[in-house]
Amino acid sequence: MAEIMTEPMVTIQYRVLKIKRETHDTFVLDIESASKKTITSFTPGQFNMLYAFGKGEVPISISSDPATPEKLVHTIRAVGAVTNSLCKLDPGSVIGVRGPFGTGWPLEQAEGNDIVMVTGGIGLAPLRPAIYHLLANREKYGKIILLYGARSPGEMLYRKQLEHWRGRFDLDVRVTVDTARADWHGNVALVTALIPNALFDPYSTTAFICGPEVMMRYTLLELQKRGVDDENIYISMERNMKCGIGHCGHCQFGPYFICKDGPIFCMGEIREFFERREI
Amino acid sequence: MDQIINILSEHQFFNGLEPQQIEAIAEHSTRINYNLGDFLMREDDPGTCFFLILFGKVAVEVFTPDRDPIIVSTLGENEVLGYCWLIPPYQCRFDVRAIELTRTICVDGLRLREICEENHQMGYELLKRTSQMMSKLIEATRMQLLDIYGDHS
Repeated sequence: MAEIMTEPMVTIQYRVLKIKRETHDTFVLDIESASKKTITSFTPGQFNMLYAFGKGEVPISISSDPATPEKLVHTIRAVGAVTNSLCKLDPGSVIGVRGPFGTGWPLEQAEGNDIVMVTGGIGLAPLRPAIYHLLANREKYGKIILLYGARSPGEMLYRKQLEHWRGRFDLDVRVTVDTARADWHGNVALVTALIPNALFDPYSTTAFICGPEVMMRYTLLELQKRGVDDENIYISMERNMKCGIGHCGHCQFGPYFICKDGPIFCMGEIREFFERREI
Repeated sequence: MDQIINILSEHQFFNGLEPQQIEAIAEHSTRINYNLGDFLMREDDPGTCFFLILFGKVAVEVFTPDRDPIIVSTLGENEVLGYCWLIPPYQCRFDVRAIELTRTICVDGLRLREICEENHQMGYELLKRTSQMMSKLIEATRMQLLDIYGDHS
């Protein structure tokens, strides 16, 4: 389990090592501590609060390898004032980091099972640390299947890495896009369309889902059709997270706070609230 | 013919049909292979057949005069392509192109339509299956229209 910060409201200064444009609006930010304090571990699925000085803070999932917590990677979509500001940083710039916060994917609990990951858009980022872990501990799991949907071929995250993973013989990677030009030879369909033909044992499968909530809802339906039990389905939820420790209440989701009780939830635990429109 | 009967009998689309109904369909079916780039259907062509894709992948495309065609969906192994053989005005609305070597069973829709007119029970069975396929297509299209990965902030 990741170390919990003793002073969760105090930021640690981190220096930008590298910033890479991943798609037209998404950037990958590599950072390491610029002070004596540092984040010494994190659990795949957890997030940090990144502070662009003078602009504000945003919750961003960690998308790097948990084996190297000294160098953190965050994948950021530039959609607002803070994320736009973070994406314009140069190497050497300093930002504030608080975290890691929240729950992680149940990787130890899933040992012995097949793993099906269904993800869309930037939802691949919070799953990437889990994929690193699964591959580093490959012998502990059955089949590992990654089903990834993007808007178009140009908007796929980590394309080279996906191609590399696809080239492995112990990982089944299937990709689909919503629309494409004639030079695309892959699938054009919703990510949910990949589920019926994926080869896994539904009664010994743990599913991890991360993406837009609509996508997750339809993914749940397809997994249910295949016979995967709610208790073995985990989703990553998103709400307006501010403090990161369940004090401010901005991210309340029924009786839960996404920042503290989530963002990873077992579907068996939250089904009642997930299906309620008012929440 | 026996080989086609076996494939049809095991296919989900024909699940529940009587053996003699399967045989009637098989009688009007042919195995056809398509190379990369070959067209299975062209927009505005008469809807004369439908396909069971046994292997490979096809792209359903919309032709645009000023730029490359846009792929709106792809279909692969075990999927059924084509409903215009059964639904008026019996005309293809999209181009369908093989984007890999593709092996199919092509069913003669014109002959099958005649059989359906004579045998309404079989016609109803095929209409139910085709409607179900169309309903899945509509659902998928609606989801694609949502542009769920787009920037809605």
